[in-house]
Amino acid sequence: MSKRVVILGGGIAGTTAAEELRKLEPETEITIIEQESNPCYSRVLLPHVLKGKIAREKVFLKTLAWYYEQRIELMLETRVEAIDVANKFVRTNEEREIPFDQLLLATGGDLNLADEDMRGVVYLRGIDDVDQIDALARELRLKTVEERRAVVYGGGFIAFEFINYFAHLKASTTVFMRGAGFWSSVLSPESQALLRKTAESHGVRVVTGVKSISLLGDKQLERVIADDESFSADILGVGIGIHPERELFTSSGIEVRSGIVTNEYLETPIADIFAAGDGAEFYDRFAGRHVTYGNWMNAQMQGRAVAHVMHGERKAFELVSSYSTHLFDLQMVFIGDIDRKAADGVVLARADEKATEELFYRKGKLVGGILIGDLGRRMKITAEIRG
Amino acid sequence: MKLRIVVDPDLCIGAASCVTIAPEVFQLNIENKADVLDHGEAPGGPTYERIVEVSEVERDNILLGAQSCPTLAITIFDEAGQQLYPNV
Repeated sequence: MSKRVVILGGGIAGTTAAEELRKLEPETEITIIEQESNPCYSRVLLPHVLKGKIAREKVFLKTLAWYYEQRIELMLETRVEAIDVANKFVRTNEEREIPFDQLLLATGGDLNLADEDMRGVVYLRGIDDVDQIDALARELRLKTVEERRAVVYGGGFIAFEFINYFAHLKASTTVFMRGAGFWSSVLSPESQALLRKTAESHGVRVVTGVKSISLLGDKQLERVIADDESFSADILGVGIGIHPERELFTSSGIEVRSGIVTNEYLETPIADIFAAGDGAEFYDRFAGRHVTYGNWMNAQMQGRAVAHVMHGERKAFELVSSYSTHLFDLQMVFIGDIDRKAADGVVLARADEKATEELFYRKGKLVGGILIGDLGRRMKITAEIRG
Repeated sequence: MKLRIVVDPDLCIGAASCVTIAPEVFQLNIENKADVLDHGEAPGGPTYERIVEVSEVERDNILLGAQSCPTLAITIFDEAGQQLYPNV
């Protein structure tokens, strides 16, 4: 009987793993179990779709025909509810038991949600979110520019995307964040100030230290109340991070910290169970510790790397990954391990009107870097982290 | 064989996965967009489009680099003008 591989999660990590494994093992039975209803698509393209830079159908990286040709079974709209690691099967929400010889966990993260929900409240996670935002944007465009009101809740990556997009819609935008500034758990006060200045110079109002928000509206969002202040809003973009799926894995004896814990080979301590992508906390040789990275490059490369390990090759995953984004015309890149708490020291190598550079050291070695405003040193920093 | 390699700077967001996979062909410029190189060189100056003579191994790697782009900003054509990636 041929080997059976089950992959939980049909995002870029799981799909790349399936594709690579098929090249290595023509006979293996490969099944991808995915909760969403679409084949693999690029989440990174979603802001481009919103801005009309690219057609909606262009985000799909694979067609259903591709899975068929590759003999990869894709089970959509299916949730795994239990993993039996001893008897090696997973049970789906339809009570189907699917046996495996090897199991890859590539489920990514779950969205953190605002306490309340109503029409007008949007997230930016999947293609369904884009459809929802598009519908609201059409209504917004019927109003005069002066009447278009948008609110963003959050101060990180997704908040940047919402701010850029609401500017594209010519809406007056207010940003509420819980921290003292943009991405305050990661950035220095100098970098936060540069981002704030950039946002404010484009007319965005920034409100920091918000303890809670609540919503007012009858069926549809009308106002957002942050602490005691009330703001009129047609649309609220929420970007307050993700968290790892915990219950499903820990109940099966699979350890989850900031993600599913693996070694540098992306193996969990349980034989034949692997993890890759945003949901994996792996041992990063360059950082010298276990880390979780939520970026495309890391997820895709881990998908490819884990396929080789599952095929029996003994090759550790080694990559200095990075994430690049922008707030209006201010470019930024986050390279390697940029956890302030885990660093022995953070050097602010540059902080002026136009740019900041932060370097993260541990045990005397460069492990991460942040460049804002001037990305000229990106490759040098990446090379130094790689050593 | 020859490949025509084209980067759309309007779609490129500087994710740099192509640079990681195929650094001899893709390098980020000052705008944080991927320039196309010919074996690490830029004869005629920086450009988003170039025809490059490659081996079969190099072609496969360049295709992997193009495939890694999260915004599908890289298009690859063969000598006959046939689009190799993205699949049409």
